[in-house]
Amino acid sequence: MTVTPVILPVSSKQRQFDALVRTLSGDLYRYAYWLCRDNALAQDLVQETFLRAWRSIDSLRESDAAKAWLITILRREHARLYERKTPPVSDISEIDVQDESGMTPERAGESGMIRAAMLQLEPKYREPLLMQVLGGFSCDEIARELNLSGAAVMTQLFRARQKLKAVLLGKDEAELYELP
Amino acid sequence: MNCLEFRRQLAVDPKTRDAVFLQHKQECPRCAEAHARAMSFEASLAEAIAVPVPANLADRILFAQATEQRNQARMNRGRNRGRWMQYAAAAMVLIALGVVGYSRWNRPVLADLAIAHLAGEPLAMTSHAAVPDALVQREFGMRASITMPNVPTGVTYLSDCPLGPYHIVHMAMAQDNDPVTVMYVADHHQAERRDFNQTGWFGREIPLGAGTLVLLGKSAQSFDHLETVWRDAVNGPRLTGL
Repeated sequence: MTVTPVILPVSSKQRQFDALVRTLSGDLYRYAYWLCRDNALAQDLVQETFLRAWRSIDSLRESDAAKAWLITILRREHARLYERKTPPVSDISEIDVQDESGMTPERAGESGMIRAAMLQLEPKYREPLLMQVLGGFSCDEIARELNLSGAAVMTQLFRARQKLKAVLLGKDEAELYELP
Repeated sequence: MNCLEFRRQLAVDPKTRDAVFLQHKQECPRCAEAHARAMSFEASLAEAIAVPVPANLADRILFAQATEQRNQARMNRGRNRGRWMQYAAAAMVLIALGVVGYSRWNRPVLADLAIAHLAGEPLAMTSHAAVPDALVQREFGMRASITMPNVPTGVTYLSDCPLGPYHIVHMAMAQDNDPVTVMYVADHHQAERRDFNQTGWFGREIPLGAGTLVLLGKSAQSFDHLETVWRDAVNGPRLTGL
């Protein structure tokens, strides 16, 4: 007797969701991680974000808008989390960010310093910077997402970079404003 | 764009493709150097914030989604089962109402029943002996709770009979030409008065009191008179000439 394998049809909606998860879950996790600075919490946030996205995936019309759409959901989910309870947040000095394997000691050291500097940034500077570097958002898109003016976003991005460089170079932030 | 504006823009968005920005970079070596340093910093920044993603994160999300979907489907099935139970109950009620409604609507026509009944009681039309008023009064009192002080004259046959789903006081009244059968259906009130003529019988259905009076005869000649006397007998005489 021949056994016919059972092949369940996968809906186009499910295929779209699979692709979305496989393509963007990494970036979303990183964004969530820097938002809450907790690995387990970040994973929960990303999972909840995708589950919410699944429930309303029919509203996603353009693939280019997917990342922004997911980040919006994630930010709301993160805000909800703080509405419900204050999650345990580790002290910055206790946070151990894993280094990526395959990095030279110099690069690993540099990355560690940048991460430590990132953790010292106030959220109002860190978040627009993450949106720009991780999410690839333009200033206008960040302004819309954070409900800020374009000028305010530009100022925050400028200051975020200056603060990071100041920490990394061990200089005062004001010194960096001078043209080399 | 001057150097200061370039440096500001560089700190805001080093990867900008703005034409004026790119032109200044080409024209100013010091700003070009600053741009190269900034791009190096951006690469380091991007590398640093790209924290390692937990293994199988995507699979875990898809698993959670599939589980939620199954749970949702199970809940929907449960909800649907409950809904079907409600539909079934509603259908049962509708069927019951339908049966009751149909049986009411489909009740046999009084005239047909009355004519058919005559064939089963041939003696009714041949009897000529007057029935005492007291017996008629008793029948009406028992069958229809009607107190009848004055019984119409000429009742020659009296019986209480079943008539299909109804109960009747079956009477015959001797008239000039032919006897007329008079049936009082105590438990059925016909909505409208109507005359009929079928299978050689003339008939009239008269709503009277809580029931219906049916007159049947070979002619309808005496129907008006009989209707008046029975109305008077059941409702009491009409006051005329006042």
